[in-house]
Amino acid sequence: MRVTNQMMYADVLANLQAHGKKLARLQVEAGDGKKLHMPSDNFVAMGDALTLRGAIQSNQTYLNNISTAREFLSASASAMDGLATIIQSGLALVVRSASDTFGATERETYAKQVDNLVQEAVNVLNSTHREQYVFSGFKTTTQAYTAVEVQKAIGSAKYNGDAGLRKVEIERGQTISMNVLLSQELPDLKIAPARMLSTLVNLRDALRKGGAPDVNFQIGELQGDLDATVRVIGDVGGRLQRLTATQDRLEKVQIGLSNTLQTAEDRPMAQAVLALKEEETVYQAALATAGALNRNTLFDYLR
Amino acid sequence: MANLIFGGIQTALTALRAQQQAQLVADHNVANANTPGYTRQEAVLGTRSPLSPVAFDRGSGGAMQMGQGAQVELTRRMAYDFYDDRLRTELSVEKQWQERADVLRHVEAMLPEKDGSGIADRLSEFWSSWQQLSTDSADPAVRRAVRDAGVRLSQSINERADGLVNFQRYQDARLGRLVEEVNQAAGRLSKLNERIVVAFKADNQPNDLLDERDRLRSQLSELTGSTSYIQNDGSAVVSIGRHVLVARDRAQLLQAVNPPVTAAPAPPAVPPAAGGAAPVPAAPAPAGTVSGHLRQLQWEDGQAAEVKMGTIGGLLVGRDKEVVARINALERLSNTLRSEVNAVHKTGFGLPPANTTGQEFFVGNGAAQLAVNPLLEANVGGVAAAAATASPGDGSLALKISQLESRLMMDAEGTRVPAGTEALGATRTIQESWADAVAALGADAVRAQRELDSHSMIVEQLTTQKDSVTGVSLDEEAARVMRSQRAYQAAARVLTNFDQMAEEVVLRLGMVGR
Repeated sequence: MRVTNQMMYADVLANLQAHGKKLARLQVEAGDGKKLHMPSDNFVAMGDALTLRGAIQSNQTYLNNISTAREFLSASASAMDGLATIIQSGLALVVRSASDTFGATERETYAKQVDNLVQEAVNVLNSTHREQYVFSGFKTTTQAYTAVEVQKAIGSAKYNGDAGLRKVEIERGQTISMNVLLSQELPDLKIAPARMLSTLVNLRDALRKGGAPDVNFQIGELQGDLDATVRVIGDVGGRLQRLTATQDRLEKVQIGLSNTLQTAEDRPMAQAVLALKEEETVYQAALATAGALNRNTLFDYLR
Repeated sequence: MANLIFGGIQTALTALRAQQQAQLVADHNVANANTPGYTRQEAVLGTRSPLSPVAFDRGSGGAMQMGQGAQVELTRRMAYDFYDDRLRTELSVEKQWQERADVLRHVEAMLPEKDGSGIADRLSEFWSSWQQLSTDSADPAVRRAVRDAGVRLSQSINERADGLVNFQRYQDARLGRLVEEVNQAAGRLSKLNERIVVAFKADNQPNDLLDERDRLRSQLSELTGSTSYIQNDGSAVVSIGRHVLVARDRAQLLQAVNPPVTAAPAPPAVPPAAGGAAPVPAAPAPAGTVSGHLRQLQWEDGQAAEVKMGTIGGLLVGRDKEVVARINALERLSNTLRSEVNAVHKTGFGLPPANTTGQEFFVGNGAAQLAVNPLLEANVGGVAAAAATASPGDGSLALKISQLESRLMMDAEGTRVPAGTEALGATRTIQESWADAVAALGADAVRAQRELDSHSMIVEQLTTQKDSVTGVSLDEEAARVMRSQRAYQAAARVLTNFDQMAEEVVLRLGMVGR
């Protein structure tokens, strides 16, 4: 085959082009440590990477949801703890006031204490978390209970919320309700605040009227309220545990997903630099070849 | 005797002339060593026809013809039509793929999905903002986050749709320039044909014109995938498909014309009101219909022109298929997004006291116009998170919207399956469907690049083969120059020798005893 000048230079240019392209590509990869820049770099991996990034993002959202739900449930749990303390104080008062020897002044003192408990209970029922009423269902901006006064003292409390269970998705298809419903009208009611209030109110009124209250009856009522409160606290604790377990699992999944994503789109730096060095050598060789082409021709020997 | 001497001088002169001509041809070759499309030429030396023996003695050696020296019989053009034709065919395929690969590379750059920059990420953000709203539905900051995620998502879809439509317009303009190039080349070729025919008739060898002719044939093949052949008179006939572009001195021109507008006419610009208010600009055409307004190719005589290969063929495929496919993917995405989100959003309620319901979340027709409802942009309280009225803490509707993220509603082709039949045909979520579209774009780009690479390889090999026949080798030319130089020097010597003989005859003969 004849070798002509254009052939030689075309070869040189093609080689330089090809190696230059590879070199540029490797430089980009070594520069940002990614091997996926365009879908055409590896369209299968790109499709995977997009799906993985979506999965990572939604996992992160679930993790955020879990911490939101945990905060809210914790707020509910501490409110419930407050209620339990109030009921326990009520119980202690009932036991102490069961003596016939009390005079009217002492009974009034106890009645005042019970009244304080009643007011405190209404306050606890109106607990808020980040300016949302914890116990009012969906109506988070409406005060959950308003006290109804009878003869200048709280006689009962009226529920203003609704039956809304605030569901939060904590992983795909799994929801958990992050609020506790206390209102009496509800079928799935676990504790009846109005009843509890009425027990305390009755206790107070009995103390005020004079005469020993029916201790056994009051103790039984309050004990029932306390049990119900503790049951709800236990239920909330169960939910909090479930949140923690899901969080642990999701965090592990998250690590796994991130690793898979990295494998799909990252270029290990050592590998990238090594490949870059190799290609650089080849490129230099191509340049040296191009330089050698510029050697003498026969024309140099014409006289 | 004197006849023979002057004959010898004449013969040496023909040698000088012939070698000089051969040198000139080598000179021309060297000068064009790097000219694209140049075909190397070679001076073919031959003997001049000999003198008849009548004038000489018929000695014992029998009748002898007297040689009359050398001449350049023709300047041969070292062309190899077979390689040329194959090369032109391959070039037209290569150029088509090159154009398609270029288009796809541009489109890829216009639809960036590299970490955190793509529609897929905007979609994820959008869904998770609804998730967050479901947990904290009364918080205005979270509501703003939902609105902003919606705005960012719709804007990223708008930008891409606008980019693609503008790219299509750019290609349309480029089509016009390429057609102009074709017409100019066709015009030049028709004129050249005429000159070549005249030159051949006059028994000339128009080598350089033939090179120019073949260059134009290649250029037309590269642009349009045209085929051509050479007639006996040396002129080229070029045709695209079954329509002749150039025959002899006639060229039929191509035109890029706007198709007749069949759609409803654009709304007339509203004249400025008497008060001098600014005129309302006419609404731009929706993205999906733009391809209907792109220019089509036709011949001067009104026939539709079908150009499938070459740069123009690739541009048409790129403009009408590759870009349109991506615009359609964006359209499907934005339409599904709009209708699905709106369908749920309309059933929900905003914050009290307004408790707005029945509002759309997304408005706008098509990917270029998708936007968050301006009413919501102005008042995030209207974002419906609750399933019932007056329920600020109810995030169940927001949860329902966020659950659209994982709902299978698209088929494998990226089309929304009819509502209610999801269980039968839906295999992909909105997000997966977009990832599919991106992967399909990558696959198409890879395919175009591979086709381009393989055809470039063939073109390269054919060019090398063609070059090895038609190209100039400087060493070879130097050798030819040397050869002619030596022969020229020898002929000059011979001439000097005869000159001395003539001197002998003219000046010294008959001088004996003087």
